[in-house]
Amino acid sequence: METALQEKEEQRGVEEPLPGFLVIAAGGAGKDSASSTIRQHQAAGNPFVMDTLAIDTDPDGLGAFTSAINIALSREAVSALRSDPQRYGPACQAVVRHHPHLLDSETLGRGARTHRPLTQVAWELNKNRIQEGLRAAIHAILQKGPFARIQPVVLASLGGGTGSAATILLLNEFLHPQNKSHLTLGLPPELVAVPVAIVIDAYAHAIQQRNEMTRDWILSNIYASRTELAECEKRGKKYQYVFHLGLGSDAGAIFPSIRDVCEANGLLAWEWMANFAYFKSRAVDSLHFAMTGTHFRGGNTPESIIPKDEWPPYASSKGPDAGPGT
Amino acid sequence: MNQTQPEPVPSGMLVMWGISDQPCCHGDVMVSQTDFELSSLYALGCNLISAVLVCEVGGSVRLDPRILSEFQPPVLLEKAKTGLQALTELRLPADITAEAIRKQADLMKDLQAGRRPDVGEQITRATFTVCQEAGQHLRRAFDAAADGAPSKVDEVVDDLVKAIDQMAAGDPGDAQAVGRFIQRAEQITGLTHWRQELPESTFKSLDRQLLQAVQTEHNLALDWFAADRFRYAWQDARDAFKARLDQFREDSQAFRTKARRCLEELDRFYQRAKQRTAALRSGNRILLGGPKDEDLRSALMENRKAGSQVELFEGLRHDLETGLRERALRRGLGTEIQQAPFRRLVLALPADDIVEVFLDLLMAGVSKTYSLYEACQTYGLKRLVSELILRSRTTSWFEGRDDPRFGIIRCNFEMVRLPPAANPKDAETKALIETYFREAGFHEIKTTGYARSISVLRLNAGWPIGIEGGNVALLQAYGRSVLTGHLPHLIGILPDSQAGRHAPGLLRLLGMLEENHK
Repeated sequence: METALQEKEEQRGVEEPLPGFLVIAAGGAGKDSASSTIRQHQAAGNPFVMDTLAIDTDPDGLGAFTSAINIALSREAVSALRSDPQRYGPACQAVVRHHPHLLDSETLGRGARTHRPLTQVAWELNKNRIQEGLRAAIHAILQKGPFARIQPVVLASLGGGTGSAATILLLNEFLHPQNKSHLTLGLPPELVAVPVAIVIDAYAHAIQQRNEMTRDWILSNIYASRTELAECEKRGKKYQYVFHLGLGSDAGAIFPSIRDVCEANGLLAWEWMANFAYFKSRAVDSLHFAMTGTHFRGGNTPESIIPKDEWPPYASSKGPDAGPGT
Repeated sequence: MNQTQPEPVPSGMLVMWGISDQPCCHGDVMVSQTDFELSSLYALGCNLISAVLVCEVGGSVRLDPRILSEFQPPVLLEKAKTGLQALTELRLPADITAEAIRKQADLMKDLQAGRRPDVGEQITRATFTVCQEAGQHLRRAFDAAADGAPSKVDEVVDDLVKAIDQMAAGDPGDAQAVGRFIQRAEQITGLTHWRQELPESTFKSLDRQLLQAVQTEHNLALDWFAADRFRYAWQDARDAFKARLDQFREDSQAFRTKARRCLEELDRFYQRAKQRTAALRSGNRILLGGPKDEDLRSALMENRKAGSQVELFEGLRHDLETGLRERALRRGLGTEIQQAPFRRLVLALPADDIVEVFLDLLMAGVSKTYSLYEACQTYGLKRLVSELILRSRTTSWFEGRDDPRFGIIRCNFEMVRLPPAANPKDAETKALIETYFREAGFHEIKTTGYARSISVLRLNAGWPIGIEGGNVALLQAYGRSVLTGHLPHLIGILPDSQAGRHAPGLLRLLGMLEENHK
């Protein structure tokens, strides 16, 4: 009876049917967030299909997830990279040439330590394993039931070295036509939905640092990640939604530590998935509809801080709607 | 800044000032949730996990002495001899004939000379099987005893090693027995040549005596074969078992380490729960009064129908084992681990998994008697609803730019999730909570069977990242990190960032900001 009603409701298109969820935990905070999501899911008795895939440059704690891709840099891999950087792409070449100190053999394998290019090198070196791991994770979900869609959900912090880089690099894995066709080889091409990212703007982590330099590096990474996300959006490679979780609200809710933010991030990722049918059906009617017709047409702060005569001429490069004060 | 010939503006700069003609996919998401004050539960967990994992739980830790006596070499040797006598090739027929004896004598000569490897193999297998069976029996008994009391393992192992070292390999047997049997067999063969020359009665009497003697010699010869092979089998079994005991001692050490880690993990939960009271005043969770220690204990005893502490420990341990097996299955550990004894299961799983399963057990044990809605009543329903709504407010800031006049149409979603009511009183409280949420404008209220807490999820989506208020502070940190040699960018994403270094356009933007503030 219940199934028949559900089918009828689906036919009417009232609510989007639940996809299979692939939660991708990128980096340390991503893993902590996903652990919180797993706890919620288990406590609720696993009411929908959700697999977790962890990707990290630090192998600690990878066993807690459905599957994991350890991209920790090994000495052998770095040795091979140094011998012929051209084989590994432009990012690897640039690091070997300009930043060889990042590849110090004494610190390899212990995470990216806020060095985002180091994750990019690890990503390039493990590209095949990452693609295979993602594909295997998709196949594993398909084995758990018929799904018209698989929804990747990326959990990460934008302040660290691994999660913030992986958030950008995963876009390429899911949205580059060649990579996408590799992922869905032998399956319906539209099976894998455009990923959603639920990210922590790691203010709490930065504030907890006693070392001022580390604090600046974390905040700087958040800023760099934001600019890169925006750049990727410009190039058409963008997440379906990027949900941000900041430090606190104006109503007395402030996260005192990174652990609390991760706990909240994992919880809200789970709540979002549990309410996916409600959210998605309404998002299509409102958010997606609005996104087809709207774009930002104002300046942010410059019009109030910088005199207009000092402000670069947006009008010449972006058209009449683009500049401040339009 | 050259005002007559302005520099081209880098792409990153355009986006960060919010001048993005891209559809806006960014959203802010926040959730608030109720939570129980559980420090009492974790404190109880710390006490119980010690009892369940580490300490002695009822029963004796000693091995059954009968098993040790079965492992004694003389007993095993007797079994080996019986096994040898059962071998067809070495058995004398009930009606002994001179021909059968001759064949046995030939066989034993061949065995001594190593010409019958097939029969030699059977003899060896018979003696080794006896030792192996006894060893396996002992191992099973030892596992069971040690599972019951991991803390006593060292003591049990020491006792066993001492006992085994004291066991001699047993009577080596009569080395001349085979020779004597062959000699008797030759005498019987020789007697048949004298049959014509001896009176019939004398011949029969001699023949009877020789046949009786030869049977005894045959048994002694078999005993020697059994003893000879048994010495090697015993040596191997003893060494293997001692090695196993050493391994066991190491495993046991690891087990205790794991148990200690579980305890530390639980203690961390406890310490965190104590600290959380302060943290939750500012976080996204609202702490409701939890059960007291004595309530927990009595609820646990009552729900598990345990008459005594020992029964409670045993019941918890049984359920923990079941839970850990399910966890091992979910983790994809091999079937070997899933069916392994409790001790190996504990070793194979990480401490946080064990603690999680254990805490779930405790929670399940007490939640039946502890109602969330009762705790909500105590907290104050209106206060609870308004705090949940406040704490789920946005964590992103837009300085008024998230407005249709700037081209932004934000979309807001709210969802309240409530657990089901267990009784009419709870149903009343639940209805009141729903009313208060509706009055506050929250209309999507869902009751889900799996919820253990009340949660409010709020999404506010559809803005570009460039308008988020944190950008200015982040840009300042970005600028400072130049001085300390940071590499903030990925390579090849921003067109004006060289090899991961800071983008000059963004630094120029920062310069303009700072200049303006002077």
